[in-house]
Amino acid sequence: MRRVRPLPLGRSGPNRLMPVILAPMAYIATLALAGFLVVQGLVADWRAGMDGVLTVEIPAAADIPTTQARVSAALAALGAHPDVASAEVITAERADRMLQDWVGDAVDLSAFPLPILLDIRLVPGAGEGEAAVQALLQAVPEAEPIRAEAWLEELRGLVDVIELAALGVLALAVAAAVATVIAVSAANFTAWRSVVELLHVMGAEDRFVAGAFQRAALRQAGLGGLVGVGLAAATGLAVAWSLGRVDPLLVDQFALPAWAWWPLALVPVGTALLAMVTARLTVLLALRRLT
Amino acid sequence: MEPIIEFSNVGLRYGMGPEVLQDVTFRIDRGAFRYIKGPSGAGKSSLLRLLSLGRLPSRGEVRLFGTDVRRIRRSALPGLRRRIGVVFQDFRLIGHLTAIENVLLPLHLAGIESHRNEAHVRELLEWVGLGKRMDAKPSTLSGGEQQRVAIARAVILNPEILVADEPTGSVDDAIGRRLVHLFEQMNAIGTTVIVATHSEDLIRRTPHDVLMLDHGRVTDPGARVAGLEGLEGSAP
Repeated sequence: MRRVRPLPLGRSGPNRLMPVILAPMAYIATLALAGFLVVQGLVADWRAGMDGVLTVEIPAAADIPTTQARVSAALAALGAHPDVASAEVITAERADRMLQDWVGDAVDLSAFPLPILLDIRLVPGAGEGEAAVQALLQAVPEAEPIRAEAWLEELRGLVDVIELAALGVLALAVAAAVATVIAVSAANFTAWRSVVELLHVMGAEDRFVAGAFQRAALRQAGLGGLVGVGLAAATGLAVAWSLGRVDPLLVDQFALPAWAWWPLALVPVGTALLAMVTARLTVLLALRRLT
Repeated sequence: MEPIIEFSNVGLRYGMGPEVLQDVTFRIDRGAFRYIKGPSGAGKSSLLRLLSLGRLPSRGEVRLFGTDVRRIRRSALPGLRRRIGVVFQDFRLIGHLTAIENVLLPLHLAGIESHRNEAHVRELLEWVGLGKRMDAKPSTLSGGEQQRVAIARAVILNPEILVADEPTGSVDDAIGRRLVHLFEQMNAIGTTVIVATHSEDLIRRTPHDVLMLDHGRVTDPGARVAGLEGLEGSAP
């Protein structure tokens, strides 16, 4: 038996606009979500890099033998501590290389009285190595542990602001998408009102009428979501290409973690489902006003 | 006889406007054939809207099939509506559907689609003289053809109540007689038929009780003699 489609909403004017309006919103939402996920990945990388690692600064004394005695005492205390897997001096060459990355080749680092740094690896389960630090400070009171956690906590404030801003943009995009779907569904309902009223009198269930509108919204919003995510992916590639031209290492640093691709891939699905539910509720409310 | 329609002190207003129907009280028994007659603006269309459950009353009690329509759950209303066939004055065919699809629509909404039903629809369209226009869109049909599609759509589910608004208004005499004959046939097998009409000729030729409306009030709830007063050649 032939299928009768009394509400072919895909052909109606207001519905055709939905992908055009939702695509930019999906684009903005995807970029905001990607920004949020990149920042989360960066923080996770930093934390992973600092986990089980401790850096201690041994200030240079007035004379070299005293300095060397401090370093030896520190290494001995750390080497004897059960929480310490290894402890070694960061050589002047390595320290220079690390600093040169930041200050450039034009600066002669030998002109500065650089402190001696100890790179300490803790055994798993040693936490932040507080016991080892106490043992070190007993042996060498001048030693100054560099607490990366404290530095990271200070950075956390900035990260929180960036994450909140990204989530705020995402929430705004979702709210705008919901408002758009409500407006389009209401316009659609008005455009098809005479047919809806007829179906109503002929005994159509509310879910039959709402189903037609929600399916149309699902299709159109899904299309808009796909276009938006596609454009966001193109933007991401362009940004990665630009970063790569500045420094290839930056591309790795700002790359999305592997797990973060899933939430981004789900943006079109989320857009479609959000539109479907919004359209359904909008039409059900409008139908309630009919009788 | 068991009443299938009962109105008690029914009022209807649209939004905050004045009441277009006031204190309407009448009853129609199952299997009756009743005309609704009245001048323009008397409230015939509003009364038909209540009878077809297109609106619910603003006040008073409307009982259809023994059920107070204001007291039942909203989800139960579609089931009641499917027991009522409606022929609109302006036909209200769906423009993008063909004639046969328009008639299939009530079956589709009731969830009883089958090849046998499609054959039944074809048979009905043949019967109303549209055998060769089944796949035509309403915009290509004449007024009379559109009206016949509308009537076929209204009767396809064998409704217990058939409500028709000026059903013979746009058709020639021969077709008009055939349609009224169809209504009488349906009435003979138990369908309650309610026809709003201006046509005194129609009432004269196929006499039945008349419910007279004027200024939103029932002036006569259906006594045949009273309803036909002043109509030349009215049936006894």
